[in-house]
Amino acid sequence: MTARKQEFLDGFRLVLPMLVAPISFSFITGATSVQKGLSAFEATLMSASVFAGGGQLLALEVWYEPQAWLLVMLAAISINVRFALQAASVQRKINHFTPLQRWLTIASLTDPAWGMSEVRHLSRQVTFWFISGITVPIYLIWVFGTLAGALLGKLIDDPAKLGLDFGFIGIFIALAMPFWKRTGALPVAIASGAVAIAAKLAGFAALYVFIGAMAGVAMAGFMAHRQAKRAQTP
Amino acid sequence: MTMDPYNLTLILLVTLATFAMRAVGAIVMARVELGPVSAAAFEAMPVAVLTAVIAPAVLTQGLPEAIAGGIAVLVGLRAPTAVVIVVAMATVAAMRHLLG
Repeated sequence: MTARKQEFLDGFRLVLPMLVAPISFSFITGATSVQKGLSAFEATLMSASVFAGGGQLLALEVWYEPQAWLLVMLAAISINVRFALQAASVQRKINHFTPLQRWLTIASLTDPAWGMSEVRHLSRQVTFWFISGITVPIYLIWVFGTLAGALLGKLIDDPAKLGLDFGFIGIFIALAMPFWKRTGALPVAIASGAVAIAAKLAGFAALYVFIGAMAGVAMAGFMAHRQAKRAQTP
Repeated sequence: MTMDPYNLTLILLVTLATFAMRAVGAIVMARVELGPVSAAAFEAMPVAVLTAVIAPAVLTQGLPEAIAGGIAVLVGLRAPTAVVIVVAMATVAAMRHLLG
């Protein structure tokens, strides 16, 4: 077996047990997209070009609000800003890639590709083929799962009866779980959750996620500031 | 195969915004040293955004959503992603049937 093939298989074996998540996630994204008024082709195109489920679902929530062009970008930015941090970190580990390989990796960065590259880097050099072994199966599942969800979602006359609309929240809860378990997460979660609820009830139909998130980020900054001050005073 | 200019424009904007986040990380963030306060604020971004989506969806829609959200969180403490998704959908469907 060539080294490239071995690297690809290493990545593939690591990602294999995690593929249930993109399968269900992509199906719901496809069903939700069609429910919001996209055609099956548009839903699949969106998954193929955006390739970030949380941002896609959040953008669909504000699809028909006034100034939707701005709100969909805010939605994508606020939930995908984590990619900036992940890409910054991964970038240092893939300097030996060709420029094309480097940009393919950055443009298709996902949470698993980032996380597993960080772990791999602890013991050996990360290769393009290793990351491909993670990203290629996720991408294929993502695109074809969206298409399947878009086509089959249309057949269901009342998605709310089956709880399909709530699958989106299930995904977000599962995504949030490892973050909620971290120390220091509770005050941030309470601040952003409470302010988001207040903003929604106050009528900020499309901006409440952004407003709540900013409150949570401010709380994190405040806590870090206080900690830094406490460390200075003897 | 239907293509609506409105939908296509928004898809393009979401694509650009998402790509910008990944690219900004590789180009800019890699060269900038964050102070402790801004680093903490950045690190809190995922939990802040996710909670701001979840809390209103679970707590302002009604009893079925509140019960299903609570159960999904409890299940999520131990169970993998796929189980959490299925439990959330099944519970909300059952509760809507029972309470609605």
